[in-house]
Amino acid sequence: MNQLVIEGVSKIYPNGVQALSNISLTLTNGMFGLLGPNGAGKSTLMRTIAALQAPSSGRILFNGVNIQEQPDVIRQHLGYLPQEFGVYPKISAQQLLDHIAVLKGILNKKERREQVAALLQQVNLYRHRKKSVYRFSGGMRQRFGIAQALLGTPRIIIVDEPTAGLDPEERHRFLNLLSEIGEHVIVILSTHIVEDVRGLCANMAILGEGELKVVGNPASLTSELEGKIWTKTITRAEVEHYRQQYSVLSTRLHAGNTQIQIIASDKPEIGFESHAPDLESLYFSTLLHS
Amino acid sequence: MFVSLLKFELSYQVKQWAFVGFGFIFLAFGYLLGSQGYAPALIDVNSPYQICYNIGLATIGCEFVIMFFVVSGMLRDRRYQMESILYSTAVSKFQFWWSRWIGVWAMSTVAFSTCLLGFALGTLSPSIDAARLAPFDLEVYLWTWFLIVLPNVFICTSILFAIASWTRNQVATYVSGIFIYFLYIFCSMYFNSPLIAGSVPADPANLIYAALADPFGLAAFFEQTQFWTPYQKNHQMISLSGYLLWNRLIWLGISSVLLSFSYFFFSFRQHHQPIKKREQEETALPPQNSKSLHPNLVFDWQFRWRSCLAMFKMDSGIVFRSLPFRLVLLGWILISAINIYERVHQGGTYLESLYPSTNLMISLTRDPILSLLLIVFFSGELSWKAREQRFHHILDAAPISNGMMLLAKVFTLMLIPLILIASSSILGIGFQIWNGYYHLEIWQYVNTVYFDGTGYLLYILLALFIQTLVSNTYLGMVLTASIIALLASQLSGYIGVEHPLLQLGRMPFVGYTNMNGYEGNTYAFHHFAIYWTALAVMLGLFTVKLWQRGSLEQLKGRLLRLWRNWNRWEWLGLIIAMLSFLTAASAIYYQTNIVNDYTTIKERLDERETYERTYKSYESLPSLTLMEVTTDMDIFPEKGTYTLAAEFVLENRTDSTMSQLFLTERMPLKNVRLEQASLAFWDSIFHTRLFDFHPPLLPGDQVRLNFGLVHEVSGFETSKQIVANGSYISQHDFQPMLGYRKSLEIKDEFERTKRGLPKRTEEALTDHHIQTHHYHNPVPILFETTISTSADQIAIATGELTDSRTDGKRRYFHYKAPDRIMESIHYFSANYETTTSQYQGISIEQYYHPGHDYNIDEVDIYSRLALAYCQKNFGPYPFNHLRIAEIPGHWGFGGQAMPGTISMVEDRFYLIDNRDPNGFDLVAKRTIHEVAHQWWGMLLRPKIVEGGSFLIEGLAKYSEAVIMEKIFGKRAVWQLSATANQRYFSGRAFASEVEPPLYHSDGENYLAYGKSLVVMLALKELLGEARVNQVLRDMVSRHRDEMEPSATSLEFLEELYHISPPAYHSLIDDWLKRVMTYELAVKDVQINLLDDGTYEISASIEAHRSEMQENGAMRQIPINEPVQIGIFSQHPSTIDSASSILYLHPHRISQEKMTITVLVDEFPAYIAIDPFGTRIEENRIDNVWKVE
Repeated sequence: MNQLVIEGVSKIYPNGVQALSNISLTLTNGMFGLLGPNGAGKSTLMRTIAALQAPSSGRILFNGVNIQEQPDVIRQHLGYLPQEFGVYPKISAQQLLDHIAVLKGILNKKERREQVAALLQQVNLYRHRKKSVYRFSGGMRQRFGIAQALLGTPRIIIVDEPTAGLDPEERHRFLNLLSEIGEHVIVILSTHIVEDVRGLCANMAILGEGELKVVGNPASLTSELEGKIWTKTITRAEVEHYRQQYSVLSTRLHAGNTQIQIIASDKPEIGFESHAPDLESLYFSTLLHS
Repeated sequence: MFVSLLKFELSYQVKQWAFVGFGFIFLAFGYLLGSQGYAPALIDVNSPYQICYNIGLATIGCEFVIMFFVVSGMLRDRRYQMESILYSTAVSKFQFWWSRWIGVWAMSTVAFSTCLLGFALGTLSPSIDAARLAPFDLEVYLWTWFLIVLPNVFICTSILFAIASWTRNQVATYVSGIFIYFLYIFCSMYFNSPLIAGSVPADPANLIYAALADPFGLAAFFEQTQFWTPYQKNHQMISLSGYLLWNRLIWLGISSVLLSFSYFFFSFRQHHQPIKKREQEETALPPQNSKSLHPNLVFDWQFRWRSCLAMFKMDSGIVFRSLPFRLVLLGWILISAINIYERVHQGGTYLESLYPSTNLMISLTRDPILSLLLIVFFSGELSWKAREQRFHHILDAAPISNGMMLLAKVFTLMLIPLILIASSSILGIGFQIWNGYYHLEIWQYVNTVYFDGTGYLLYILLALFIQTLVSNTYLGMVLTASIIALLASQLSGYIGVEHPLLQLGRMPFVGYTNMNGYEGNTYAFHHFAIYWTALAVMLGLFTVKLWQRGSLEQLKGRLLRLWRNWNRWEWLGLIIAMLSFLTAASAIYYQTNIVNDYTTIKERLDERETYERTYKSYESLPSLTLMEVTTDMDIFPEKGTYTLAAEFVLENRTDSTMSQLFLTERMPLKNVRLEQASLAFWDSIFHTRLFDFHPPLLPGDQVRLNFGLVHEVSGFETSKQIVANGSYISQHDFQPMLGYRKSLEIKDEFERTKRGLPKRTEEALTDHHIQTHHYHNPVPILFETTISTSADQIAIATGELTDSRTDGKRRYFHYKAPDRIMESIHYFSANYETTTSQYQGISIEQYYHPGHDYNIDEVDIYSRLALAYCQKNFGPYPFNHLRIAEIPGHWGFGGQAMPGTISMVEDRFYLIDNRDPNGFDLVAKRTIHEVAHQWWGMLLRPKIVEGGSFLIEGLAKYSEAVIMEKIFGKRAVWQLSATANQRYFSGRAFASEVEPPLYHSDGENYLAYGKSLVVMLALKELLGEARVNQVLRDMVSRHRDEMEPSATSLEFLEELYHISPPAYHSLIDDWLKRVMTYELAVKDVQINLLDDGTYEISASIEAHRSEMQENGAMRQIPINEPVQIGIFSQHPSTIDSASSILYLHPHRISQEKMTITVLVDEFPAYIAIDPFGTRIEENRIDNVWKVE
């Protein structure tokens, strides 16, 4: 069982922006979803865990070892997919994976070849393995990124917005792959797509403005909102009025009208219908309350 | 719209740090150039020539800056992915493109023009000698700006901008920049650029190509000014005419055309990468096992080097597969090939060829700066590549250590110089084999890796270290380049960094000669290799600790963690590196400052000032004359030492009694004893002594001076004189000076004024001075020596060998001069091979390095011919031997003559490839020249006064020309005169004093070796060989037995008047007593076949001559003198027999334009005026008319 302990990690950038403030978390094997809007500090947190960035204060222990002092310990067991990445031109997917595999410690040539082939297969790039990654389309490149993150035998996998740019089928395929691996290792998945976390992650956290808003099991967290979520279909002109009146979680267009979702302990007014809380409700209500 | 776009562009560029930064750098650089006050002698620091020269060379640097402006101006949209947004706006192509171009061009012009401003400000600096400054002249600056700065910036900007706009690729832009720079280097090889070492001598035709092809116009500038006298350089504006005009027009044209084309083809849409052919889709089945595998991970030492290797593969791919590297490599191979070919194949001053010995190949392909440029550039590329490609997060999350990432980059960058060295070595070997030279000495090429490659390690780590500190590639490159330029180049002296320990990465130069092997510098080299390598290792460790991994972090944060997380090995490495660094530093310091006497330039000047102030009063003290020398010289070549015991006999040859003798030692002496005298004082710092005579010496009295000395080469000292094989020690190296040494005085007048020293009195150059001057004229001496050396070597000195014996491990030789000889004595010792032959009672002995026997037979033949001619025409040879001995290539002269003995330098004599029978025979020339010195300088010893060098060198050159004409025909004279003429014009262009007339020449080489031959040839043509020789023979017989030398150039002139008709006297004066140049040309030729079958040749001649005025300016004067007109069936430069001369007679040229008509029997091929160079003339090409 692997264990990642984050203790009071804060990050203040030189320009004064506080990207993380006092984050404490303990993670063990399994999928961990990190939800948050753009700019909430998800990527900063993930880079900090991946020892790519030093926190301003606090510390991170991986299986008891401070990664600040001994970054190699986590690097040797890390699979990391950055939010965005590029590659060198004129080098094929297979060659590049092979190169990264050596850097990850797979020195046996046969093993390396087998794993590279297997991963290319799993991310559905085997056909394109001799093409230059530089010329891959966005989705293909993202799949390549996933493959390189899984090289070796990572004990902790950090994937930053992995499903961005994937079509639904590929996304599904990838999430399945992750959950399979996630049984034995720590997987930290950051996303702003609530859908990705639901049903996949046993644990999750919502990050907003650099702070941890909520940590826990998605189902139990959601259940706390039971009976508090209401929806109503209104005209677009009324939206502003409702926004002032109630705590509006979300608005969405629905057949020309707008369906709003609000949070309230009692039924607010006629026309509102009770709505079973889902992860999205939780997400919005958490962000709303902060 | 256009205006606002332009405004935006300008304000954008101004806001970039680069604009302000570069503007400042160029301002500072200009200031440095101006304030350092460097200019050749006689030329004002701010003369039109000097400003153009400095600013012109500086514009080469502007190219690298423009590169940056272009990339930022034209390619920033792509870089910051603004293209799609920008191209969808309403901006038109015209507005966009031209606003960008104007922005880049204006910024580059302004940023660079500060250099000119800086230069002007620099000349105001108080450190400049006001006497070297002309009054400030705005026009000169503006003209330079207009002629050089404006076009060069335009040309560079246009070409680079065109390429950038066309390819939209940063690397392609850099490559075209490198290409422009290469073009300059190629051109500069033809005009001896001050930035390129070892260039080939200028060939007029090549110079024209270079003048046109150089994008910076510098070759054209040097072509225009190559023969300008200092007066012209100070007063004449560079003229926009000739090749310089063509150059500017051609390059402005080329760049404008490129610019228009690229505008025309510029597509205002997103530029797509060319679509490559589709890679073949793999249809093979994927492997069976599609489950994610669990490979074994290894993180031991093996992982370290395997990960390093993987990174090395990646990094070396980036460097060695890149276009810039490949182009530079190609350029390097081309330059090396040209360099080797042009030097080895007819590349000498006399178009002689050389045997391609390995050390020559290596010295011709020594990389001046390319590796360094590549290292600076690629260290930036490698450090930032992953980040630029946004691959760094993946890479940096991998468990490879910082150290291995660094090591991979170090290996990659180290390969750059190694590949350059390897490629030029292969080229050298190939060239040797092609030339049929199989003495390859491959180990020398291998050693080059150590001697030339080691220094780069420090620069590589410095560059990578700086790249980790900064937050931007370009900033890193500029910083690295500036630090290296300031601390490791000649510039370091100007900012006060003098000590070798501080000159970053500077290694002692280790040369090689066949005779002596690697010179003594190897010892110092090893020390410096350890010193700089240790520093490199320390920098490397800090680089590892400050490595920018993952997200960028400010330097402050990284510095805070600098000392954290050091493991055992890192500590160990740091401690070992530190200890080696300190040990090497102290060893170097000990050797340079304590064992050797380390003095800064200022300290040396201080010493000379003190010497002058303390002992100037003894200058007027009469001195004794050296009459006899007896020495015991023991040479220990393997130890680099010699010991000497000497007995001098001195005589009072003045008319008065002498009570004191002042003596300045050149080397510290021991056991100094002077007969009949007591030591009044001894100064152990300046090594001066004063003796009192008891009783005082009467006129004609003789006393004995005994002394001993031990010469040791200690510390990092190297000695040319005493070496392992090929020692060549001059008596003047150790012999104490009998009096005050005026040569120790500070000569620079500005420096003297600063120190409050009086002006040095220069005696006026008058004929009276030549007649009456009497100052320490040496008399011939009696000489005897016993010289010993190690048993495997032969020792040589002047005189007859009377005895030789071997005693254990030492060999002894006893030499004794049969009669009084000129005091010019050298001691030789080397492992020689010998040949001897007899010629009319003279034994011609040759001593040479084993294997250097290519030209030995010829030397024997030409020695005989020279002895025969000189004995017949100038009087008998006084010795029973003529010795010619080889000395190592580290001596910079061609050969030296001593009484009965001649030294010749290995690579300027023994390695001359003389196999081409039609080539100029330099072996013959040098042999004859040195043999002739046995008469000129030894039998005829001129008084030491102005005009003496004409009698010594001029007459030796004359002998060489007449004898060579007899052996090889007129073509030899043609070449000798051509070289002498060239030497005159290029020499006087850089003369340090106003040119005196020939009979007042005072050691000016361009007169002694240049003009004097041309004048002697003119005299020979005017008066005839027999009459000139008669004059010379009379002078020799009159002076050969005298004690006090008294021959002068005035006497020579008198003799000439004596044998020539009075009508010629004024012409003789024109040549010898005035400074005169000619301009002769054949302008047109008409040939008519007459009825009797002969041809009537009518040649239109133009002839001008100019005389130098007192201020140095030339003024045209009328001409009226006989000049030879020749008609030939071959070009005069190839004539070796009389049969190709159809007609050759002097004609009186009395008008500036006239037609000369001559009848010949044969149809001519060439008609020439002064075909064999008897007049000093800048352009001799138009003297010969080729019949079409």
